[in-house]
Amino acid sequence: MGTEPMRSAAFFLALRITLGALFAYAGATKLLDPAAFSEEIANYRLLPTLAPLLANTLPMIELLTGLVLALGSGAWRTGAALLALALLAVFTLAVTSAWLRGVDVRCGCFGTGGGPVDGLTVLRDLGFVLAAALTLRHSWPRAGTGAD
Amino acid sequence: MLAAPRPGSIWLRALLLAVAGAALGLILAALRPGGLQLSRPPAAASCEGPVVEPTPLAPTEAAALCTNTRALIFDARPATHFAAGHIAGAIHLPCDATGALAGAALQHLEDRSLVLVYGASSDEAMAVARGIAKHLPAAGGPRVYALLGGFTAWERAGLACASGACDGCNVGPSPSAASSNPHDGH
Repeated sequence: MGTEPMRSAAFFLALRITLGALFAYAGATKLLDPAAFSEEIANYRLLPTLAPLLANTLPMIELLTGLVLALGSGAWRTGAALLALALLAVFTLAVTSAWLRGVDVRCGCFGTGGGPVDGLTVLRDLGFVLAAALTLRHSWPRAGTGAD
Repeated sequence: MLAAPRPGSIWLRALLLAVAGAALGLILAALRPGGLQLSRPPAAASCEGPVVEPTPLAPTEAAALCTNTRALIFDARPATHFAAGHIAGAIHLPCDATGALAGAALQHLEDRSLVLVYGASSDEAMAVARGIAKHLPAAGGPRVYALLGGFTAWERAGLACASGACDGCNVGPSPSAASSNPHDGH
């Protein structure tokens, strides 16, 4: 393997582990206070009746996705990257919607300590979406190659 | 060399991860002391009847309410935060304002016509203010305001603060309550 492919492999490894750790951290912080997380979901005024269900299920989905993305292998890892991208796309849509509607709401992205949703939150989430898309693209099987 | 996984199996694993995570989350929630709660508390579900939306108020505008005898100020933050410092004259209201707590707060309203709610942030204040507004008549009831920027914005603006432990964390007038000026700011 040449220097360039090694650098590329190291970059994607770092990106995947960082994204996985970020998901695991986000899930763990939300697990600490599901009632507060439920309130923050409801404050988005998108699906308030589903807030308790989402508050009880999303944190563990994020935690599991993060752990498998960082530590898993093969199709499970790629599946986690796919799920991470889907989740981030939904989160970004919710944050963008709140920002565009002028809803004064905390992000709730990393537990209850997050700041209010603004343009920077949207940009940050778009960055996460890009990172997840790159990770998925790199993990996605190509014809004639192995899983890893 | 491992065989490349088919895209179908990747989608299946993503779905399995989501389902497994959701199931684990529900099991964990069921094991918590409060049990699994899949419906919102009454105060937050403010969809019954017409409810007047609380008005957001900047700290400098809200300061006028401090000296208004027709105004009542509620602090929605935890008791420790209240003890460390609060708006002079504020009444402590536990931050998880359920319908019952909002109802208890209303006992202090008496003939007050203005209510200001503040918390650690704007949306915390708005959530509690909505819970209180839900218990008030839509027409002719007190006007409910929510402080923008939370207590930190109030402090940053250099407005009057006080400190002292809340009395057993019950809803009750703080010892530092000082409302003497009948000036109505609104």
